[in-house]
Amino acid sequence: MIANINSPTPETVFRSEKVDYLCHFSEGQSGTIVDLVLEPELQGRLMGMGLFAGTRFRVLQGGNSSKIKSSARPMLLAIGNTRIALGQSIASKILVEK
Amino acid sequence: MNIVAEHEHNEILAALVGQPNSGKSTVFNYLTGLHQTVANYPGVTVTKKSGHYHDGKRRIEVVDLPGTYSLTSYSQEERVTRDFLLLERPEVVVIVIDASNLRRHLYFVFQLLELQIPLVICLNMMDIARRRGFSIDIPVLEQTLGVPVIPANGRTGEGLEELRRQINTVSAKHDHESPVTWKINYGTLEPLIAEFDAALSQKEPLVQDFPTRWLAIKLLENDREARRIIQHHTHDKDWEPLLESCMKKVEDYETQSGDSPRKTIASSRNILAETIEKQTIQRTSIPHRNSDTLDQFLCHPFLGLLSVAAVMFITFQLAFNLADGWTWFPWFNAAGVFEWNTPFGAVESLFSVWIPALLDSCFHLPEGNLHSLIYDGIIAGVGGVLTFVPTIFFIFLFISILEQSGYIARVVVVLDRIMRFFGLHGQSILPMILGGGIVGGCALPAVMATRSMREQRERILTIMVVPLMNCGAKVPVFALLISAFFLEYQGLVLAAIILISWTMALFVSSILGKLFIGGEPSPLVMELPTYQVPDLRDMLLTAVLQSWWFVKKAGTIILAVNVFLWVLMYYPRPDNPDTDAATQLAGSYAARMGRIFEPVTRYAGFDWRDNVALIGGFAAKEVIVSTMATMYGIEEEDETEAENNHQENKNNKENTFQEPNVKRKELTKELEEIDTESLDIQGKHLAVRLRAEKNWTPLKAFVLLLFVMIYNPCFATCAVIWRETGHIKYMLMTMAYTNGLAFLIAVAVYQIARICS
Repeated sequence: MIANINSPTPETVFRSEKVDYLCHFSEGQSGTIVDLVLEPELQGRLMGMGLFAGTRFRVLQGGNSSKIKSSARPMLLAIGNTRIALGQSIASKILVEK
Repeated sequence: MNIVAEHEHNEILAALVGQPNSGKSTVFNYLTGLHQTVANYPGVTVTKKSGHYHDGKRRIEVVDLPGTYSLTSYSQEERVTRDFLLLERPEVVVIVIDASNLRRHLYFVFQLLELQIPLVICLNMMDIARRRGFSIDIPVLEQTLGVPVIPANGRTGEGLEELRRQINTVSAKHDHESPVTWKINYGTLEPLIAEFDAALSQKEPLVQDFPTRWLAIKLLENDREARRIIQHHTHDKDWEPLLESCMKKVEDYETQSGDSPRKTIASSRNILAETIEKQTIQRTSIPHRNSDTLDQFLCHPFLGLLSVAAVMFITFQLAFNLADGWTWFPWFNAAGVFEWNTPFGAVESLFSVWIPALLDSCFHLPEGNLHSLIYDGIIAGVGGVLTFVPTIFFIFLFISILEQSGYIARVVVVLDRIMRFFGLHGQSILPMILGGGIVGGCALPAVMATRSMREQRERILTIMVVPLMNCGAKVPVFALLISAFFLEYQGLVLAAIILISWTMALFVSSILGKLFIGGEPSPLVMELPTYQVPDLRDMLLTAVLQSWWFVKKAGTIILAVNVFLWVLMYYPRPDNPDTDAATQLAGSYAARMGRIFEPVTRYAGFDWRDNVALIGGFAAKEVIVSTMATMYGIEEEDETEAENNHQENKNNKENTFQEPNVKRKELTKELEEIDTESLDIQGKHLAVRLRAEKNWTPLKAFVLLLFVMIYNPCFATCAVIWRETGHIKYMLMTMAYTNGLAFLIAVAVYQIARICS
């Protein structure tokens, strides 16, 4: 497994060592949502889909370790019985921890 | 008491709400069947679906509100839903929820319960829940929430008769004086809620019309619409100090607790949903998810693209070939009389052959104005509208397969990063392919096919660029010009056409998106529903309803425009009744318009005759070929007659067509070999004729080809753009940019090429 070479942004260091952005997670990894740093509309929509602080999720596809290095590839998450695809612009604004 | 109650409940207004993918439309289809109508909510592009059914003497009007994930007021759909529930006061609100995703749907249920509306929960998709090994304790759920819960399966109809009974019971019981008293405990926020609630309860007439506790919670959530409601429903300037003190208290709370009230509210709801889920659900087993395995392939960046390409190609081929390609009724063709072998051909010959023949045998109308109005204006016009129906029917049959199966969400995921670059949406690909992305297709059903797109900004952009694709009606024009001037480069020109139209569409959508539509591109947030086998009943219902909607809503406009265009081409009548069609057309209003435009279109190399053909093309692009043929004196006759005619023309007019007879015949034969399908015999003769015309050069042909590709979509499509978006402005914008762009490009190419040579 290649180590995560993405340097953590100032905010993540500030919050906690364990906290990272969702887009840095890789396929097959599970975690817990910490915060949705999004405008109220998207926050409302994601909450309606079951994404809250404290919700467990698993990355089904996309993310950091995928072979395709295109940063624009959407991430597929499993949250309970719900499957959600998130664009990178959103995945980079969701704080998560392992 | 309101007026409805005084009507002794002969008519009940019921609303259907639910999150996307909850199976709400299937329930709606079951309840209302064919009795559905589609309109737009005033002022927004959101479509309003409503229908009705009868239960004994009562008529139950069901409104299918747009599927939303929450009830904030940020999107058009959410505002529409909330306004309807609050202002129209339906007697029953049925919320359809997915039994296999209970927690997340309960979160939505709470938001409705707080609105204090008479609610019935339809616990849909029980089959999936059972398959996943869930068992749900319905009585406990009913008791906890205080509203009826009906386990159902919209696809089999399970539980839906019970739902009808509950709609009756709840609407009969419903009394505005004693609203639902169910409450969530918001913990630390409760003192503030109580305080706001008490203050709002003093406000007249607000307190009669709106649940004040709900408004109090909304104020804490910092909801714009809630503030607006308070402003509009209190006397004088009463609201100002109230709102100011509320805002101040919300800020104080934030600084004290370090968290926004909105987050506290959301997490309280979520925790409650989790608790109720734990109380009511028993999990017996967790089976393997086949859906996830399938997604490994269908959402894969490369394999996914391949499968999208394959699915789009198959959908396109099936829809258009079933409507007008593959022979359905070979025996009609075998008779050799009428081309009645496809549904499209059947409708077409019904209006071009059968009905005129029937009229002829019943009434002996003399040739003249009335005869032409009825035959060429009205019957041909109605026929022109109805020939779209088979295509619309089959396209929506397949679209409903893509939607019901859950595949369309995967298309969005796979194509998102490509389409987003141009301001479009992953889902835009389907309308663009149907509209002629690979040559052939039809812009009209393609525009209708955008209806399932949830992102309004991307939907409008898609609607506006779909006409740039090369629909089936442009093909005869291309075939004519290619056969006449680019026979050797056929493949190359065709490839160029496809390339140019996609480049145009993507370029235009990026520009329009930035300049005219505004707003940010919606980021990708898409639920991937579990794959399901589509339901045939739902498929057929969608197809029939969409076809009917088209005839009813767009048909009249299209007919009116077609009759108007017929007047332009047919009037004024020449004094001498023996005047041939070419001379008549040359004196028509259309020709006068053509001459008026000539000084302008000259820069693109078009003379007045080309202009007349292009005016004809406003009705339908294929009309360009027949108008040109009429203008150049080529009548719609059988081959030998046409050839004789051509010979006569040649001799009479002494034009430049000096090739030996043998060579000409060879040429005709050559044309036949190449374009037997796209061009009829009349078109082929026209191609030969155009070659011979002095002022026709390959350059002019190419410029015309580009112009036809881009300019004004046919009026049928314009009418549908207007109806679909609910705004005439989007139709006018589309017409303005297509014509402007077509003219600019035509002039540029024509002038540059002339300077260069």
